[in-house]
Amino acid sequence: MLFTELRFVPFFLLVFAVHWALRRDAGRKLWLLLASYAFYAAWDGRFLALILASTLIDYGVALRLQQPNVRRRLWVSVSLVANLGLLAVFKYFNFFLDSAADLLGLLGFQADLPTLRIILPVGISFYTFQTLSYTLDVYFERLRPTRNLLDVALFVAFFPQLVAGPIVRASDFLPQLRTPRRIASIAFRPALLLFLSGYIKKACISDQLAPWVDSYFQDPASFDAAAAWLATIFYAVQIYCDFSGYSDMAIACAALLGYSIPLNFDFPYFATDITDFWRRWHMSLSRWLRDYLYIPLGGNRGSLLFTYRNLALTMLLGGLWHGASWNFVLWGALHGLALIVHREWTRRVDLPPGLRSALRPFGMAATFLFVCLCWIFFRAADFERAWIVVRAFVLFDGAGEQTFQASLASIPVVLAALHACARTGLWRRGMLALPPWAFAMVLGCVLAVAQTFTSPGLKPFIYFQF
Amino acid sequence: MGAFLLAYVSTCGVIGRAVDSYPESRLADPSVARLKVKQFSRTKDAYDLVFVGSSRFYRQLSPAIFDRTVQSNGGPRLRSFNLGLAGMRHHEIVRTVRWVLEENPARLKWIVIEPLEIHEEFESENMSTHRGVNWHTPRVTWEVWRNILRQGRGPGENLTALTAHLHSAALRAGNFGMAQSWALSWRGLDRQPNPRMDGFFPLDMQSDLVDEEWEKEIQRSLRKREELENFRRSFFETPDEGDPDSIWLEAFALLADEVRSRGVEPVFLVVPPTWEKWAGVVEAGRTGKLSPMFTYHDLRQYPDFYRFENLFNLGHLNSKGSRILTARFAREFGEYLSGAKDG
Repeated sequence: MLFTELRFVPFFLLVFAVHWALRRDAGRKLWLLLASYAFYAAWDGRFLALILASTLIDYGVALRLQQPNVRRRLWVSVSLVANLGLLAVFKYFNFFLDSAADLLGLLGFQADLPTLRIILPVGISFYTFQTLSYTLDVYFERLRPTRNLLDVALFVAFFPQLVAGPIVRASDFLPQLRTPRRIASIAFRPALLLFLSGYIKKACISDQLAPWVDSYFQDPASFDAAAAWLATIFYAVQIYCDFSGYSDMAIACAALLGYSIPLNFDFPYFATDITDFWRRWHMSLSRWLRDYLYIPLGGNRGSLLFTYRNLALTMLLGGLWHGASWNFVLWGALHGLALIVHREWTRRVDLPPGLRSALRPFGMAATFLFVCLCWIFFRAADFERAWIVVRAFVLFDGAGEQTFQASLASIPVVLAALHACARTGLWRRGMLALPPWAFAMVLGCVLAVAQTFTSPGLKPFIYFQF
Repeated sequence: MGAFLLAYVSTCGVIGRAVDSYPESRLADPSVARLKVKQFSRTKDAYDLVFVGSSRFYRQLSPAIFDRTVQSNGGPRLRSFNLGLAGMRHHEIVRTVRWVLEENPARLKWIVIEPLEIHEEFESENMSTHRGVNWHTPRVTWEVWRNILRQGRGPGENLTALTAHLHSAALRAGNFGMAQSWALSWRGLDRQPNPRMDGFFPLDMQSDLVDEEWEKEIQRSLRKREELENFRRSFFETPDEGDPDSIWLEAFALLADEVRSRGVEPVFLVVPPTWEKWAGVVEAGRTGKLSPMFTYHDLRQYPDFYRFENLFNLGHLNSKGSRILTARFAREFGEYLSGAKDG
């Protein structure tokens, strides 16, 4: 089930109504858990077993870790092996096997390794990281384990963020489950506004750009260099609006049910350098990778080379987290390399504050173009097509005859202006300042217009595949 | 909440009216359905007669031949248009007939309707297509609901079917996905129909419109002749007699009344090739419960239509068969009109 689907409306209204009608907190949590499982089962009920397995394993391991004289490393390994094992089987099995076969082929051996026909369970990367955060927080003694299985199960399966994040950490969410929620404390208007803005990002922007992006990346060799630029920039906008739109809607739904989920995006394309970009893009993943991978690897507590190795490894694995393909690994590697170069640059070059401010627009443009360049590997179906796009994007080497209408170039300009406007928070403040009836009327009108952009058929969110 | 609903419903209504001013924008571009609706809505005042039915109408009834033959057989000089579409079923036929009447074509005198049986089974993949959504007006959706509830299926099946149709109706009422489609029409950027188009495309002359591989497969199986024999056998296995289904009869009788109330005459037409005898439908025509009705599907009466050389596949005639069928219907329709005129 998608947030932009019509059937989500009755689903959410029912969940919302029953949730707040129930008096006891345990009843509400049980209801939310059942609703979350139903939400997931609307896609494929068979894979609920995986969520349940992850939940039970981490619930048990966390309790074990609290007991005295227990082999903590062994128990945390159980959780890591089980969770990452499930992820490896369902997401990476064929990728590892294909890569092994290719490697053997390069060495002159002909290997015919079996591949499995496995469906990738929606959201497995998200909830695996989420549930791992619980065991790891308990292991690192940042969090006391809970004896309440219902709390752990709801933390893992909470439907607003179950399938595509934001990745919520146990230390942020479990304390909320211990405190009874009150409808009076909900900021309805900001939540509704956030949902609407997420809906507009997804339906009116991302889905509208998708056909051009798809047609270009299907056969980039048949397009010219101008089309490569437009399609790449369109994809940058598409993936941002798609993913941040989903996150906005998830945060809003959670807020309406009384729970707080961390922000996932903070205007990333306004980042002035690549480090700043990663503080603003998919923030919940960046923080997860920092706290559970980069720092345990040693972080920056060693030599410079050691720090850069950790940074590179973190980004490589971050790339692989997105998908079982070398394209994603390369995408992560490029970002890792850029982070290392930027860190080295800031270490060596100390610009005077005035010059630093003057160079900000340049830094913003350079960061955006670099991020766009990396998106090419993220979007292209294979290396061959990615190189064609990169050549056209970097060297203006596009020999194809097809092109896009010149007027399409105005779209990124308009969107950038709207984005800059949104960043000022003017329209949000303006909306929130309206009297309730006017706020409701504007909301109704905007929603009615926005849904004329929503395809009656389904257009899944890009990040569902991860 | 009230202010939100008021604003939402009013805006949907205003947008819906704008969309309906270009009726083809409710259909996906590019598609034959969109082209036909566009052509008809732009030239509606030129037609005296409209055909509304499934692909057996779309692929087998040539307005050009029909108009010529009616006139040469003593009938009036008239001009017809084929609004038949592949996969059109009962409810879409009803909606299309109503849409034609709403368009209020100045000269329209007859609507030829294919009295297909009512199947409430639905293909979920079609329910959220532009075309599947388009026919889910509140009235048609209500009729679908009523039929579903009267068919005596289990509560689970009923609920699935009811919600599926409600979903499509809500998509239509909310004008989902209309923005681009409407903009194309408004700016005149979508495909323009051929001004001479009369809505008829025999299958063997429109290979680009069908899945060639699939058609080749059908042709191959048809060539085996054996398949054709099975087809004939299946025809003979269906009952010779039977009462018309009451839900079906009521639906078409009401539709016929609706058409008549707008000063237009409904004409029912059953065309070949079919796998069964349509005993109930024939009975309704014979007893005058649904009339006038013309039937050409009976293998015993019209063996020509089941000859290999006149078939494109097991469900459709080729262009030769279509010419024969259209001419035959036109002659009898011309005679019917002369008879009616003579009293």
